[in-house]
Amino acid sequence: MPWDLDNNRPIYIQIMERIQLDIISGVYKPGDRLPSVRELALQAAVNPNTMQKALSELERSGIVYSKRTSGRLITEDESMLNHLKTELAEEHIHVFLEKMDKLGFSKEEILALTQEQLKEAK
Amino acid sequence: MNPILECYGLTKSYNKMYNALHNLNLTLDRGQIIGLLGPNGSGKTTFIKLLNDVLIPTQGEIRINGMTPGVETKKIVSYLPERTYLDETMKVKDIIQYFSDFYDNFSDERAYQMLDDLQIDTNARLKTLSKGTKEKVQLILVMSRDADLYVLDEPIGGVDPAARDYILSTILNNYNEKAAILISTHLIQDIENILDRVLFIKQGQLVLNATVDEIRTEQGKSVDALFREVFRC
Amino acid sequence: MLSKLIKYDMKSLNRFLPVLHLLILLSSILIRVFITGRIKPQTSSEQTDLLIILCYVLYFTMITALSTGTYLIAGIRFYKNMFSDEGYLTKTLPITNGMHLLSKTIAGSIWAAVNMCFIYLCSYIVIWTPYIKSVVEENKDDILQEFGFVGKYAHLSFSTVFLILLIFSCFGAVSSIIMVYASVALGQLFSNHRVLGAVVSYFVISTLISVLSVIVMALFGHETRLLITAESAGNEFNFISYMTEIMQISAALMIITSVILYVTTHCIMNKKINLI
Repeated sequence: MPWDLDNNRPIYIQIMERIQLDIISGVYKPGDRLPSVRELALQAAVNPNTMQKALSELERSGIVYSKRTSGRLITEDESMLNHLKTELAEEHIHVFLEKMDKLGFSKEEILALTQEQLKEAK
Repeated sequence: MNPILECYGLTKSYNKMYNALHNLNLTLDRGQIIGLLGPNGSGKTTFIKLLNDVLIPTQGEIRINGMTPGVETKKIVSYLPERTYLDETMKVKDIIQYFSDFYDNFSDERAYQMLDDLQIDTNARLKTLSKGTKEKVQLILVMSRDADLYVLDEPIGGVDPAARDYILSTILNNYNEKAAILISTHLIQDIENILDRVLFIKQGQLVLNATVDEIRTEQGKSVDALFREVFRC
Repeated sequence: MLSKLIKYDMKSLNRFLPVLHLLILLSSILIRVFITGRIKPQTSSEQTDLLIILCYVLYFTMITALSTGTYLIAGIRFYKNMFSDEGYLTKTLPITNGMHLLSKTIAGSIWAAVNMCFIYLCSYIVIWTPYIKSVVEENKDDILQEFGFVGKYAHLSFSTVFLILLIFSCFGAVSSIIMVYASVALGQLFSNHRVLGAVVSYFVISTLISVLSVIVMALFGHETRLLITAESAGNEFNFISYMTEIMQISAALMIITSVILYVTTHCIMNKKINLI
């Protein structure tokens, strides 16, 4: 099943996001080995060079690292993973707040609504 | 390593009035999947035929791995024309034998594996197969070679979406650093994600040569959207 | 590589030609069994004479159709394989045009020669009935005399002459194949009417060759007119020696025109072919 990628942003950035999400959500566990570039490219139905670029970028950020013999591994540095998790959460909240702002809600209203929803969700 | 493909001032005219291809200059490196995009009649097929020596250039030169098209380049170029070129009276397995007889870099095993994946009967005569199935057989033959340059003219035009996915994954599977894959199509959306680079051809001239990432980063839009803009009628 | 090519070229011809030839062979046998084999001097009447003439006409029409069919099929296969959609595969094999042409010429020639042998075989079956044979045997000396098997030609047997004729005809068949291919190739130069172009080329080439041979014969003092005068002149004319000379000249002519046509085809294939 090809990955769902949108049209306007560079593909490698979307792939990075997708893999980061997979790491945070536990599809890949810390210390796990990532599939090879070729496998991932096939899975995502994207160009192997693009996949390579995305993985290199991830490597630069430190969330994955490569070992000469066993390919790319997910970092075991919990603090880095937590940091990434928070970062992603912040991003989502940021987007959410922006949208709510467009709808004309004040900060207080947003907070109240959110709390209400959270209660219901329980 | 040599660039896999170089063109210098490549021009082809079918009659004196107009050039189907006009002064095309281009260099392509290996290890890329390249989309050759343009509306009907823009010169895509003419360009591809010139690479494969089924047309003779009016002017200009082509170098494939440093050589002009001929016997040596045909050994390393795997070409899928936009039409059915198989002798319809042959059986699928005969045509595999034919490829295996004439191309040193053809893998029977790979071909049979793919035919099996697509559930194509190797004992069937080609004329009994549907148009879509024939196209699949041809693509399998072409992709079963270990070529340096794959030239695919409209490889996904006539097949169903499921087969399309299979074909794209076959193309990706075949990707390697020493080979380049040139795909002409107007179904841009379907193949955009597997491309490194796109070439836009308009009225026989190259109007854009850029990587997909460049287009998305600089223009903030997909190749498909850009195509619609450049070729708006 | 050449042997593989020939194998496939033969295969594609083998789809039609054996059936065609066996059909003619079968018809010849039927004609022999039911018609020509039954001719006896005592059965001769106006009706049977007419029947026999009709049957020979039918037979020669059949043979002509067979030869025409053979060359036509060879030409069509050449056209389809090199210049139609199939050409997209043939032309992109890692094989030179020269090799393709050679392979197709060899495959075509094999069939043309087979065709020629069949014609001889069928004619033998149809014509050489026991009755005809006995008549010929009886008058053998007169016939030999008449055809000029005298002097230095006296030692020639019928079978030797027959063999020479057969070999000569086979060469003729090969040169016809070359001519057919050349016509197909020339037809490609008429970009909008390639098939028509091939047909026209064929007639133009054969006319040119006929004209050429008449001229060459005349140069060697063999105008057709001479034949008649020589015959009426009687004894001095020797049919065999005349035929030998004619055959030598036409063989030379055939070789020269075939080489020219072959080279032309090769040049066209290399320089002028744009598949559409």
